Amino acid sequence: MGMDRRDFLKTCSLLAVGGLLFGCRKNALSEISDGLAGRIPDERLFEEEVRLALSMSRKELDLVAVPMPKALETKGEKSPNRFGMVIDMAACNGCGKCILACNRENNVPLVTEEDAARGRFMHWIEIRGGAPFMCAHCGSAPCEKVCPTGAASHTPDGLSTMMYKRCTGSRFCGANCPMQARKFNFNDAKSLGLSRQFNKEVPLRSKGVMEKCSLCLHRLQDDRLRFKTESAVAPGASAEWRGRGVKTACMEACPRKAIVFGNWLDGESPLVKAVSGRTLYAPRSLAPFDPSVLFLMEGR
Amino acid sequence: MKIFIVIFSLMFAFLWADFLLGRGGEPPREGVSDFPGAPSLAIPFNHALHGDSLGLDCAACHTGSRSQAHAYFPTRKDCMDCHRLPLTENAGIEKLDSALEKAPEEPWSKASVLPAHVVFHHGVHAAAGVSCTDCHGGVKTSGAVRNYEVNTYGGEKFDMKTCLSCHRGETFKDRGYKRAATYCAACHR
Amino acid sequence: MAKLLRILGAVLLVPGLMALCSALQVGPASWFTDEKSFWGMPICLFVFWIGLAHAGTLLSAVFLALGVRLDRRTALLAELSTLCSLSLAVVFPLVHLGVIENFYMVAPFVDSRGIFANAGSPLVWDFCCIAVYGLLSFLFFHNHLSSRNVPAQEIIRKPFAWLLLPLVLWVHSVVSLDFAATFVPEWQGAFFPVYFVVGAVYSGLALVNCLLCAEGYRVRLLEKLMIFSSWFIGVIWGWDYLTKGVFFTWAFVFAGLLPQLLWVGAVRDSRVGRLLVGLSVLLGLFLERLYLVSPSMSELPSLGLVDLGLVSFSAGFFLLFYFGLRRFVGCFVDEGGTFFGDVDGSEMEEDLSATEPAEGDEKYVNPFSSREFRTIRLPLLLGILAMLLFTVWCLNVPDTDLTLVNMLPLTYPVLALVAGISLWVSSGVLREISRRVLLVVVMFCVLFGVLAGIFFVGYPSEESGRQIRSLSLTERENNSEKEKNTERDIGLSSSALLWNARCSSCHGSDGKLNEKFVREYYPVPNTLTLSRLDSLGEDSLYQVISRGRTNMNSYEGRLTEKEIRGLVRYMRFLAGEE
Repeated sequence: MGMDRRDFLKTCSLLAVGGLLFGCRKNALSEISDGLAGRIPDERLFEEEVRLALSMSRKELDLVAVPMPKALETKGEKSPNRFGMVIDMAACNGCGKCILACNRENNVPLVTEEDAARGRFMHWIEIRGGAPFMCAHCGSAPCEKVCPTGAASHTPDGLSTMMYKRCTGSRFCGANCPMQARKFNFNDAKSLGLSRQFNKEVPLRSKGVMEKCSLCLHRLQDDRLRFKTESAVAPGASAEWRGRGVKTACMEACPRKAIVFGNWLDGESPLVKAVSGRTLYAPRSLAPFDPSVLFLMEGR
Repeated sequence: MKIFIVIFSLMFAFLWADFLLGRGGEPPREGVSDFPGAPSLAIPFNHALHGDSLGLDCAACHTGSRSQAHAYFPTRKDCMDCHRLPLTENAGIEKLDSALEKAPEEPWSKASVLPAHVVFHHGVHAAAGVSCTDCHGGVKTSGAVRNYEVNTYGGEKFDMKTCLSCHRGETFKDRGYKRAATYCAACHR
Repeated sequence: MAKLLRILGAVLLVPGLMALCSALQVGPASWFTDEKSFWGMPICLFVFWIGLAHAGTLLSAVFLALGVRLDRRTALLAELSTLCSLSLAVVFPLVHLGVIENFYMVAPFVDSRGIFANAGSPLVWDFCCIAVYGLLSFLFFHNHLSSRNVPAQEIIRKPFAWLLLPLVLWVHSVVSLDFAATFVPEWQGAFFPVYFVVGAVYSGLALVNCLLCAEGYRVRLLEKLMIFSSWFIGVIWGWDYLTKGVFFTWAFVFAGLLPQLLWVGAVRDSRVGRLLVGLSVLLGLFLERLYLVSPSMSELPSLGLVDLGLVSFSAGFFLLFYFGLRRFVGCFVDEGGTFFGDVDGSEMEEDLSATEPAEGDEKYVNPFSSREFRTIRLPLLLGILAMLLFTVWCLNVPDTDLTLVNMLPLTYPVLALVAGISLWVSSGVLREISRRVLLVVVMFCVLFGVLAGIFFVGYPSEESGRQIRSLSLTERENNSEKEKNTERDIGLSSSALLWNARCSSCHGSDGKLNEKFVREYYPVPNTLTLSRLDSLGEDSLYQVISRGRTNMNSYEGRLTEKEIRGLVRYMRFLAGEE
């Protein structure tokens, strides 16, 4: 009456094989019939998607006053730099040029139509409350604390960086960001024909990794490497790199100069000069985490 | 007795996985010049002659090696900078000159073994005082032939652990390098 | 009965496997992920099945440690259900990951790349705790089975239970910290460890109750505990509502209200009644987990086929696995003519006396000199030593900002691991091992070694394969487009680097001569003096570099215009130095 061991094992393995084969049918079929794979999308599609995102932006920003960011608490030597940005809400008119520039600079992929209909875009910058909002590079970032592999880490210079190859896609960081600044690559953008490598300096991300604003890390890296190489031969140059002259893509693109990038710890930096005499604001839920990307409000 | 079998099989399996998946499992790479066994190439090049004997710096031909991210290979024009003249009375020089005339504009190239997400800048290392032989001198440095002299390169057998060990000051202690950046974003993007 | 359930399991498994393969293939896009937390069904199932696993340990180890008498048969079946639930539960975090092949990066040891996981993350604690829990549960179960034949191995059961009791509480507290250590508003609460442990115990009791219904007998103690747990969790839910305004209605109905039917004698005494109440509790607690993991999910219909398929997979796998293994374990359970009817927790059972100390419990024995404690002394010491070493080592790993607070959740699992393994070995199990079992053990160790090796090495990174060639002019111009746009001239340092590379082999890095090369091999170049440079003029110097001269080739295709002008300026700087 009962099944003997052999039959039991046979049944189990047959079930397993059958189920696996059936489950893989999507993959096999898609390789045959999917014509989108490998196609590179037209540039206009990116512009259209930004316009769609602008029309769907609903979220507001709840801002509170915060003090000016100070040097980061790090083990060992303190870095003389702490990079950040300030966004002038009065100057911004929500045109979205910063979003497009960021997408091109960082090879941000398009999303599928269903995701676009739900407002789930991959853009690193979103317009919230009439101003661009992106990762605030918090000094004591909640996302970095919970990343299991260490992919979300902090540089001594104040950048909250994302190492795509170390990401295992647990999405713990995404859950822990109070402002949902992080984006997850649900799809393999390349094989769906949704990504385009505008900028060779920035790698394309694979499926399953989180991404977010990097404060144009690649520009800062290149500048730092160039500076350190040249300072070995430059007679009498100071050994410290302050990142002077580096601009993020969004800052360059803004026609109203609403975004200013710079070094909070450098008196010569355009950032420090732009905020002198003004009160700095940050979103209420981020304020306890010491954000580096802050806001200026009209008249204050 | 049995517990030894158990422990032994555990260690064996661990090392087996390491061998299969780790870099140690790859055959050593050979350089692109006339090292025995390497594929035949356009122009055989003798590093020992040009380097030690003539006293040319690496950057004279690998122009990026002290200033750029990549060190680059020289083009035919770079060779002709010196070889436009007959440089020695050596009988082989005529053969060399005729070969040079027929050579392609870019005689050497190779596929990079560095992953795309790694940023390695030759210039910043040279600026910090790292000499070319520290990485490219390779293993056989003890008086005997150095790797680049027989046209193989040590840099390709490096993995992240090698880089991190030097950045942390655990290796190359006698060279007195100062501690370099070890945060992820220093070298990755 | 068991055969029917096996077939049911197989039937549920078929769509389940399809959904599982789809989930693995397509990734997180195939199931419902929450807007705010990015988590979904796999994590819900993970927490649910880990909770169910705790029941087994509760009934076997915890009761043993606390001196509550429970019949052997229930304990054995409960341990079996623990193992089946655990092996099912570990599948789900892997399914949840976006990049599954990077799973090894979660393990807290320094891998072959020289980097360390972030041991301050609750997921790393999860990994360690559950791995240790799984291994020790397996060893405990094995000991239970083998001590039938070799009664001398019985001696380690109680000490093992002492190790497992804190481990159970620790594991589920750590799982609760997955939620409570974040800043998601719905997941806040210092009571979360208690909440999760009570929920886990409750769901586990319900599961064991259902399994016992399938066996055909009952244990009254379990029913009493279920009612108690339903009140306890009702209180916690009430607290949740008062503090956060969060309330899961359906979960309350299924797992809070319906189980109160157990007060009714008719329900309690009928097998079907107990089974239905057990299933209702399981459903209610599953829904509760689902709502907890997805705080912004409004209705159930947002679940897709893959979500439901994963649920079906888990149910089918468990039924098939448990009742499949039940057959093999059956010989241990059914022999000895021990028939179990209405077993009440307070009744003595014959074979339980084997676990009591020979002296009987009237005489007071100092706990630290009892026989059981003497068995565990050395393993415990080894465990404490391992724990201290591990903590010290972790805190000294370079380039991490770990503090002791981050490390605390990892301490007990390490202790339990070393103590548990040494305890198991000390029971003499390896001495009298048969050839066949030794082979199995060796194969298991080989597998474990391979796994550890994979964790250490990781997967090698893909080479970019980009061609390194020479620096052609077009490439250089493309790279420096931005410099061209800013119309800034090339700085002196940049020109210095270029000079040292291109010009110094003849002209020397100071502009005079490269003594070794020149004279012996190459004609002597002109000296650079300021007067000579002034007499030639900048344009003429530009032409020299660009077009070449006697003994100097043209650099036109190899340097950009700005670079040549930079070199000319640098020449003046070098000459000016003299």
